Amino acid sequence: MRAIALLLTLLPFLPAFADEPRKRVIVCSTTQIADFTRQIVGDRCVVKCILAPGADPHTYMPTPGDAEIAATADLCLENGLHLEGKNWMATLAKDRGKPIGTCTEGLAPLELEAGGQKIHDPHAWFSPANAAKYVNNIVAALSKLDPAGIGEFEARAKLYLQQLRTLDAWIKEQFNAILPEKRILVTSHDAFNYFCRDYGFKSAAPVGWSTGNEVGAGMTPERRKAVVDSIRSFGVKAVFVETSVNPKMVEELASEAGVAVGGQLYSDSMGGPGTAGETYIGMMRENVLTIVRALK
Amino acid sequence: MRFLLTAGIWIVFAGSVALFTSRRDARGPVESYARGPARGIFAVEVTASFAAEPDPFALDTGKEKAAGLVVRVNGVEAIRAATVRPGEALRAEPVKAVLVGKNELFIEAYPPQDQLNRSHAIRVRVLRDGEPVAEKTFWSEPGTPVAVAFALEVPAAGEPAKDEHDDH
Repeated sequence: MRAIALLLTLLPFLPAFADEPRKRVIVCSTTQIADFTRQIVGDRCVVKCILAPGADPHTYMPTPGDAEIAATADLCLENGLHLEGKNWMATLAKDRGKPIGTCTEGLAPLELEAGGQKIHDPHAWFSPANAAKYVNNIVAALSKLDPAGIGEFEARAKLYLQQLRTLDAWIKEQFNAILPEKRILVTSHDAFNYFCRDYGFKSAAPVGWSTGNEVGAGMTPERRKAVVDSIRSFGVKAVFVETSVNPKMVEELASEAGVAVGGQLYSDSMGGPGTAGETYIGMMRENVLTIVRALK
Repeated sequence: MRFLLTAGIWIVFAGSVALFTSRRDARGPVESYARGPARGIFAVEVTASFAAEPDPFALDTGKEKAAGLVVRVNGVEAIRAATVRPGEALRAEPVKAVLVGKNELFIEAYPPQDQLNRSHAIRVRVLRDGEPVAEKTFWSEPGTPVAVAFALEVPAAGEPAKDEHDDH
């Protein structure tokens, strides 16, 4: 009798539970892609990220837990251009039979000369105009997955694209305070080429385009010497460490060249929850302020 | 008997709550009212003080070409231009989307990204049978493209049009 009474009590609430649709799950490889996706889907989908803040996508090794996360995905999103070392995100998606979207698709990548080979620089998000392309690619992938949500995705994306445009204009204004000949960005690894192209900087890094062991990646004594020589000959005021790379090498290099460490830049990964760099716009803003403070 | 009474009361209670929750969000039919097109031949003319060019931050849905300048009247596109030279007047005529009563023009234009850090101006004129009925110049905030909504009240006949605007 008690069971019947309980059933009757719960009866009016049953339709409410039955109406709740299952939210689609989007699994992203990097923190930047996860942030772009969250800006577009709002609360319509669940966004999960494989990389934790501060993790290095070049050298990352997926865990069994990551495979479980990929198994819950309705759509996987990767950066592409071999940012994910040994294509770990594509492998995760393929192993679980999940569709995957590549955010750098259709983008004109920068070509780097490395070990006699031409490499496409994967760090395209460092240009806000490229970030806009990521957003467009994500909208296209989501629209295929959830056609009923297209209006929502496009409306949110349009607002976010306006924020990216404002960010780009703001960065140009901030860097106006640094003389063109002082615009030399020395970082841990060669990740800032798009950023340097857009804002008139020259870049130098002791480690190649990847921290892994791909062609043109890693550090060579010649490369390290060239960076130290550049720092000395151009009178660089400061060098920068990156949040996702061990700072030791840059600290040693700064000491050898007799320059200061200007601060820490968010590079391949954004900041953790509660930090200023937990969003793409926050990460870019903090990087710019750090660079301006050190090089002005 | 007591059990049946309890069950009966619960069924009535549960049924009432279920009925209430299912009907709670139901809306009655909205009465629609139609406004007729305004009398006369309308034209919209815009002149930018800057070179407008396709926005590198545009949402690319593949449905429409990227534009440097777009004018919509009551949500209907009247002008779309990929590039615009400074001082060049773009004109759409006739603009059939103008209705009797309140109308809204929306103008969106993109200066080159490297000139975005200063204000830019755009002049808008609305003409009825060749006579200007409204004219305004809008300025963008530094760092943002031009995006303005321009309200235009069109009387049924005879009276002059009134304008008011809302900058974004």
